[in-house]
Amino acid sequence: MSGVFSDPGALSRHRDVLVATEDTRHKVVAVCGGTGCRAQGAMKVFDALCTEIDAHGADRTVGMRATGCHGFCERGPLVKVLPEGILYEHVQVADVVEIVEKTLLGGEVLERLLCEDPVTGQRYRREEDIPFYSHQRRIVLRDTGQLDPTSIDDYIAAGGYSALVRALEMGPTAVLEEVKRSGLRGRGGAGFPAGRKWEACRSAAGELRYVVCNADEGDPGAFMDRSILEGNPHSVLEGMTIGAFAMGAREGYVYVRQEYPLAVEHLDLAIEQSRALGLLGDAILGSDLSFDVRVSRGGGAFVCGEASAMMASLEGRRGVPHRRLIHLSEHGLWGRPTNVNNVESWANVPLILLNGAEWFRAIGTEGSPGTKIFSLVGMVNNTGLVEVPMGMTLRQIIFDVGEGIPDGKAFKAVQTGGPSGGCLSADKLDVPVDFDTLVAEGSMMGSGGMIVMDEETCMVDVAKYFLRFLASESCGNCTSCRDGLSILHDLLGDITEGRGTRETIALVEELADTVEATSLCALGTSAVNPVLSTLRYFREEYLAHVDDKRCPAGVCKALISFSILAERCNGCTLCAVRCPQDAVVGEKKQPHTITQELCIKCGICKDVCNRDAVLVQ
Amino acid sequence: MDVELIIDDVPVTAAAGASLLDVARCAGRDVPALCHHEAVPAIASCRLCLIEVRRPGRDWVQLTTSCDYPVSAGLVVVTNSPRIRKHRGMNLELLLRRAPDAPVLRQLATQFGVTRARFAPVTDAPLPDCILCELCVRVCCALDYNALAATGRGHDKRVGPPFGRTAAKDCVGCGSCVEACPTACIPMADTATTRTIWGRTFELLTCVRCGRPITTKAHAAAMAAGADLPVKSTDLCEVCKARLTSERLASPRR
Repeated sequence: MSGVFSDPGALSRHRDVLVATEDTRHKVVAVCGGTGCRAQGAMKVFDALCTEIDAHGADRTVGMRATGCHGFCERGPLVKVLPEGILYEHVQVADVVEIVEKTLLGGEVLERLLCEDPVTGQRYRREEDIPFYSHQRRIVLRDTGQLDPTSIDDYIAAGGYSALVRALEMGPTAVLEEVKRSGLRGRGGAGFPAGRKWEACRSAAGELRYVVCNADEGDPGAFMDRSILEGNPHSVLEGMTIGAFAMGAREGYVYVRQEYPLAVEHLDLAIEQSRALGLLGDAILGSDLSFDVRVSRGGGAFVCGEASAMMASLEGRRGVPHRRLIHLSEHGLWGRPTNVNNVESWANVPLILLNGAEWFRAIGTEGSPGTKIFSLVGMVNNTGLVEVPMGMTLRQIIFDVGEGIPDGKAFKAVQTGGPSGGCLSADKLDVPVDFDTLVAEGSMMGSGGMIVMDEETCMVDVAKYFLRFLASESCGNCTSCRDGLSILHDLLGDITEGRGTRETIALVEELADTVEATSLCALGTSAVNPVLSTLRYFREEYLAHVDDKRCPAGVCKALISFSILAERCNGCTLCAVRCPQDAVVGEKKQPHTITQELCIKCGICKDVCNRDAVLVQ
Repeated sequence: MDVELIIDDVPVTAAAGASLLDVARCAGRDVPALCHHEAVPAIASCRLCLIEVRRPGRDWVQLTTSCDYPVSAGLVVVTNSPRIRKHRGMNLELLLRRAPDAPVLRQLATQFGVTRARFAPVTDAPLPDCILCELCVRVCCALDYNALAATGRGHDKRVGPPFGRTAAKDCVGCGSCVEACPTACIPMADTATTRTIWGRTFELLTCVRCGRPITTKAHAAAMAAGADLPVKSTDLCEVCKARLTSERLASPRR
């Protein structure tokens, strides 16, 4: 480290030195250190690799990095060998010696560790050949799988903080114009044009103003912001610093969930490193820009992602939304002009400054430029974190990037926009994914959750699941949201348990209408989306539950029964042995039957049957 | 600054920034609200004070709450419409689950024609009849005692002593929360010498002349400390203070 950078030149000289050092290394091994891969033992693999490389005396020629999330969490732990881009999946400590001796020192590719195509079984040599990656456009996530997020030098060597230098040269007005021209829209859900928000904050009256990074990502199954903060915290800090420069703010906050310990750790470290190099603090890079960032940890309330609740929480009050007739950009944190953008929006800012607004506009669609990161989860072959240009269709994301539904099952629905998004049916697969189209179809972009469901999913049950989450995350202020959502949950429970009638459905619709029309914040007004969208696209399924007391997907236990098809059963006794209730009876090599009074509908018999003889109806 | 607006076709003049609910009520409109008190900030919890408002230059009508809506020039407000009645009725129905016997809710139900009880009543609330409007909390905080707080989320939201305590540590027993509570659900029990509220029992300060209770000693001490006065200044009840004044006025020495 070279002390504080007194001017942009000092930063670029430092970068030159770093790049020259990197050049002496022939190979770099990037082990995914994202939360998913860590949970699967990636750090043990990393330690073993370091030890093995040292043992071979190769530490001068092989660089080691524990990076951020590579996105392909399904296949973790992931190990990437650069510059070739060889990607190994499911790497275990036992594989380490072979990787070092054959691939790193011998230049040989280990066929058995290469990523396997779930459909064709083909193994791909390089990362960019894998369909999961080849259909993506990774710009924000480009470096998360390459850099060591705990090293500011890695970020600087990769060109980090040169967007800030460019911003300082351009001046605040030109920076603002560039962001406005880029058409960047807020990635947190609402999709409000960032440039317009910045302009309002910049021109609001007052000496003090704040920039805030919303990292209160609370959607079940979503980990976009988490991965950026864990894998590339400096990109967010650089974006915030550029924003602060354009808006004239001296202080910034990152509001991050307490449940993201690794993100907090990496962010804290990044802030410390930036301060040490004078990239945060007074007179940044010798300019008259002074800016510093503090981390504020939230207690895990979903509602604190709502901006007015977040302001309350940042100020030390209970995180409850309140009416905002005056925009936060004029009257925000402690009554000062405040700009809030989410993690992904901030991480886009350096890219826009560096490559220009035209480059950014060329990606994505006219109304929604750029890319969007989704956490693609559920019943899809390739689960993980994906970044695609806006305007890509749901079909392309699910069937090209995600490579379809496992076990040859049929696609049924996809839920976009997190818990309060909507469920779209198969006939909406060719809908382009951008802010406006999704809303028009009764769903929303949200912050980027994407949950794929197959034919064995009951949509009433899905709506009930999301309502339970939202009812428990409602702050409890508004009668309509607090009590309305829990009643809606109970009413859907009536339907899934066979007590529902057509009147129940009518009451659900009537109550949902009031919750949507009379709740204060977006949590309440959008919370009914899962119910209304499933009623819109899967009404027959609701009707089957109430009219025929039948769950077509075979999920709702009160409405299904298990039986054994005599013509298929060969009496192997596997189900009888595994049944926890001893409900399956029958002689060996004779068709078995299920005693309905004993059956608890756990589904084990269906799972273990090799002959597909268990019928659910 | 005064501004002009229209409420139910009638032009009204009001101070900019005033609560639209207060202004509508001053103009003689009957807008129901349970969580509103002019002395404390609005939180728009009960969702009964719904109105329809069109802002100047906008061509759409917004359904919203009036208590937390600041008055501005050119608003066109409607306080009663089929849409308002429909949603107000539903929210009233939801509140009735929590306080089915509260007179104020029964009266509103009659007034707004809510006769059905389609939803099962809430039976697990620690404070029966509480509609979680936080008026008790807001009043307590406005008086700077901060003995009460809202805790928990969703169905599990509670009001009362914070941090799961059974007794309100900072309570002085002033009873302002009881006064403010719209459903009269806060238990407060007075004997000749004590008051029990929020899990605590306070000694009552009695009038030196007539012996009637004035308030709790803790409250008197807190008020005296707040006003920088000797505690003695509050040892007469309101009736005796008035009597003393009139006696002095009538005194021949004057």
